[in-house]
Amino acid sequence: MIKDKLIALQKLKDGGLLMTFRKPQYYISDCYRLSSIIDKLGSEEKVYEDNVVSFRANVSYQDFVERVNGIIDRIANLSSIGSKNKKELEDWCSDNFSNSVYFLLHLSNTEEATGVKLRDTDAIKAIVTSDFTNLIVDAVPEEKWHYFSEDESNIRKV
Amino acid sequence: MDEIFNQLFIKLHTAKARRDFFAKEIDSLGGHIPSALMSDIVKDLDSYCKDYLDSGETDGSKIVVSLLRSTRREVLRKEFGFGPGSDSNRKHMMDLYREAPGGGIKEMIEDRSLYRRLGPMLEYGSGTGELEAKSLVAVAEFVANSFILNSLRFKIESRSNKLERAKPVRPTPDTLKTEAVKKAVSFMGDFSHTMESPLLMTKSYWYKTPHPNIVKTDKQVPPGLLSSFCSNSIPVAYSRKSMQALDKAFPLKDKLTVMAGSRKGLITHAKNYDLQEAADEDILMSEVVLSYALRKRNMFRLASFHNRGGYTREYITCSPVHEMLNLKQSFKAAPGISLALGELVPKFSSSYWRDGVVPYRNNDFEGYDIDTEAEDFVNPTAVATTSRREEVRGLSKQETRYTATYIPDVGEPLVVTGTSPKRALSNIRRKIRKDIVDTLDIF
Repeated sequence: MIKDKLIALQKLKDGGLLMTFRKPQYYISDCYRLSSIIDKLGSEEKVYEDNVVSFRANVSYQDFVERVNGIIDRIANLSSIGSKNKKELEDWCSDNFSNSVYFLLHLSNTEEATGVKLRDTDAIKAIVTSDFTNLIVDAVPEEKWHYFSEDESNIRKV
Repeated sequence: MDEIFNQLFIKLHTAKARRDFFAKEIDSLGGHIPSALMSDIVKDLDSYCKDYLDSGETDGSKIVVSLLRSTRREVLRKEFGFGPGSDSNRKHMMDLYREAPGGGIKEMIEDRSLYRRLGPMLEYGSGTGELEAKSLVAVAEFVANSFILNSLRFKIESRSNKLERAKPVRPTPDTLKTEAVKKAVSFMGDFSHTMESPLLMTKSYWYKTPHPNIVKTDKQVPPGLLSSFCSNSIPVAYSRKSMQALDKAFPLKDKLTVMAGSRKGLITHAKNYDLQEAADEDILMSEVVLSYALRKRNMFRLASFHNRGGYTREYITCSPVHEMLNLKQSFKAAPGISLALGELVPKFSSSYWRDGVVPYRNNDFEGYDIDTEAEDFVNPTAVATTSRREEVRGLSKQETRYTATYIPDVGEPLVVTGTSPKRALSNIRRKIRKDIVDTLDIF
């Protein structure tokens, strides 16, 4: 899923957003396979060129930040989250942008990462999963979608 | 507002007007209204009052008459500051009602049977005074209407509470989304405890439901672009439009899980496919998009170390990042970002904690003009490492197929898939023929 592929989000000087994803076939490469790829190709630079893709997103950096913050706000406003936990969560996420993205990508590990216990995980999943998916679908240009279609042919190639 | 509510409000207004009217009369007759009434005077009015409120009657004359008939009328007069008086005059009573709002017991007093039952109290033209007659009726009416008002307020309050609870909640974006998710879940069927969902990646004895994503676009989104916080199921994308299309094109909502070859698949999109040959035989054809979940070992034809038997776990003995760093001591993760080996924390003989990998900036931007002062997000774990003993992920796949649906007069409806419309049609013909032969065997 997306959380296993998203490597980096960076701000461009003109206000755009640069997204870096791992291509699907790279994912299943375990220790044995990856080393065999390196042996074949000769250098890890080549591995990067073949298996990681960077592109400019459809949305601006500022839009992305605002929408991520909106999702965090909606999680914090769920009635099942206590006021104390709400404050902890908001503090933790407002520290910086990467924290809030990390939070969204690793919701299941929230307690471990932030110390905040989120009880109503079903409600969070129902609301946030589709929100975050829509955000990613909007952000990734349609001509890059083929990088995200996992199918047999890709895997056989590896 | 409903009919009963309307009636209750009419009763409320009448009772209020009458209470005020008779309170004035009591004042003008020289009495006074006590701050509280003895509870035993009104204790048995409850049943009368309930009858009145539930019935379609427009006035509470029964309550008044019951007060007039009872022996406590003298007690009441005393309470309201009137002197003792034995009898009353019917004429004076009727005089009092001339101006009272909402009529009253006037008609009942005219009734002969009631006249007989009330006895000498309503003796017409006897010598008893006007004050006695009027005060008695005014007090009775005042008490009855106060009591009715009180009960009415309780009744209206409880009823409006009930109505408020039943009132539909104004939809918000959140509730709409939750509704859509619920609808999609109902589409996908209930796979609880069966482990039969085509979209589960690992076999588990825990209750798991594939989690649907509601996407805004009506295009087909590749599964790899969907996020999922439910680690053991593959998310399915349904847009609202695709759900509406499914409603139209695929009539059997509980048959969305179909067999395609030897695998189970879930129908995520559907549209009608016109085939005259099928329409002649009452068979409905649709072009559908099927989603499968496949375990990694299904990908390989020959058994290998990783896909032997039913074992779905993979033990990774060394971190790939570590291996790469051994080669060059740094590893490129993204334009302008590299990974380096931080503090090494040995876990086992040849593996390291992933915390040992730290990202750092370099100047290799590759033509992108990156603002190095802004906040960035880097996910070092996604670059190449996989955590130890991770379950091997299933891989979802989507493809377009054709379904043929036949709804027989008796028995279960049939849904059969095929790689082409003709193939689906011949498949369902074979199945129908087989069914017919089976039924013939019974006779």
